[in-house]
Amino acid sequence: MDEHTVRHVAKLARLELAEGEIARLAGDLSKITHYIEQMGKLDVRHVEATIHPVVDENAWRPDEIHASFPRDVAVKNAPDKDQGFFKVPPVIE
Amino acid sequence: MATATTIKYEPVIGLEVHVQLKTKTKAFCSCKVEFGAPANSHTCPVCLGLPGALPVLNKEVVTLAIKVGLALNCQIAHRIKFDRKNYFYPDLPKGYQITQYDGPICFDGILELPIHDASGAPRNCRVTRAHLEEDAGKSIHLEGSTLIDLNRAGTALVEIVSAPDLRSAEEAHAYLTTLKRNLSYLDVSELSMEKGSLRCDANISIKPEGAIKLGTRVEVKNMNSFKSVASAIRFEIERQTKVVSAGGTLHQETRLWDEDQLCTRAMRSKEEANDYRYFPEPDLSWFNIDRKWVEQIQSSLPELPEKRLLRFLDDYKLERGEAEFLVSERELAEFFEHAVKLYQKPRKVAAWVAGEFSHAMQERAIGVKGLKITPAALIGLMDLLDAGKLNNVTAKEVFAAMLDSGEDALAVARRLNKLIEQDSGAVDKAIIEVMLEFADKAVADYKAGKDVALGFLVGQVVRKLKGKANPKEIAPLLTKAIRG
Repeated sequence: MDEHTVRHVAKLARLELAEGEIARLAGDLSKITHYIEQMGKLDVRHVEATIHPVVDENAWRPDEIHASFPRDVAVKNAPDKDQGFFKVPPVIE
Repeated sequence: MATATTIKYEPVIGLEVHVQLKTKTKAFCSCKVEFGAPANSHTCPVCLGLPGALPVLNKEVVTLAIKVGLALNCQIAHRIKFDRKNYFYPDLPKGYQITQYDGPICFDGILELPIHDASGAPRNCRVTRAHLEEDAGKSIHLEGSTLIDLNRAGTALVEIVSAPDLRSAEEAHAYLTTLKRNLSYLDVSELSMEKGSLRCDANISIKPEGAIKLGTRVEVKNMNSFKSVASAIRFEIERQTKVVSAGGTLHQETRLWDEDQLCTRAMRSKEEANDYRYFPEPDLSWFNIDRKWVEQIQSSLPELPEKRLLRFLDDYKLERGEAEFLVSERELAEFFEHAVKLYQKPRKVAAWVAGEFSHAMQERAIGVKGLKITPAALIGLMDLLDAGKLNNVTAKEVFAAMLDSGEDALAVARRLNKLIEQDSGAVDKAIIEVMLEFADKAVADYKAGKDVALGFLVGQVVRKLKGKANPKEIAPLLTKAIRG
């Protein structure tokens, strides 16, 4: 994993990294991905992909309304709010 | 070698339609789904994306999605899972959307469009897939800030993706109309573009006619009606053709339709190339879709429009256009069939329903349910017409009044004083008056052999009787009176 990839992933994840961190992370992340790549040596052509480790199928619920948060509770922790709305910096300049 | 300007280009269009499902609660939490509720009044830890909250799938969402799939002639998956689509936007509190990436619940469908190719064969459009996903919240963009309402966040959507089989704005419009018609039979969604319960994006590219390889695809969003989808497609085909013909290159991009300027504009985006890093949603496991369940849903469906159209053509011998109109809405088709059960002349009923009835709906911009007339009331009106108690003009007046009041035909005809009574004295008096009034003109013309003059005179007599006369009965009386 090169520094370019680290920058790209950091940008997608909205992480601000210092220059020094980028080089270190490129090294660390490469070690992790190489470690995982060892599994590529195994022949798993006849093994079904594991989507989920827990075999808990059909865990659904009926279409019944339960109480929601009161409006003031819903926005209580918001850094900024306005008349019951969450208020955020402008999305469109 | 051909120059760029001599090449003919062929448009290739695929549509993505989002349909909001009409469930009581959201897809993954028990918050109420309600359009127009106060901001953030239907939220909970799950749809606010609070740490530790876990989604639980609403089973009804799956039932409705299966209905959608069946109405689009799709295969239904035997089991489904969900995936995360990761991106940051303020209306998406979790930072990812729960969707279905590589295993849609419905796939490989097809829609037969009410249009035909040059050889007369009906045009089809394949439906690649229809998958389940959750909606985002709503943003209100203000000067200097954006307000977020998360009532809609987490409501269930089905995204229906067509194959790139459409070749013109007209075909795209026909696909959307057919899709909406089929879904309207299911009662699974409000299907209102105005309220956002139906949304459509278009993928448009052009390629040299006959070429296999598709051109650079442009996605167009922000259309608020089927008409604007068609306009946006027309604009985009022209724009792309101009760029390519002039030797330019197209960029794969998302453009927004501008309804005021009637053009598409490149969307400014801070996001670099889409990189959604899909991965299986670890908070939801597999769901099995039992075949018995699918069969049960299939047998619960009403007769779908394609089948109903064929039956109307066969059983009632209707004109194709009339039958297509009648099946275009489930309520309309059902109204027609109820009426036909009470009155054995289907073509006459069809003419009324496709004629006056549909005009009234368009005029008032309401559906069948909005009109206060029952099939029995319509037939009551037709019986009065048959019995000669109303003429074609007064029947339409009575009909218009019935739509608003919900009364039966006889009551309205009496109230409006339109019923034709057998009062021979009044009829004779009117005939004599008209003959005196037009003795020099129309009466003379008629005597001189101008048969058209009779129609005018009949009209005058009916007018004198304030419409309470049947022209067919007046005509022979008038002829007799003139000829002495």
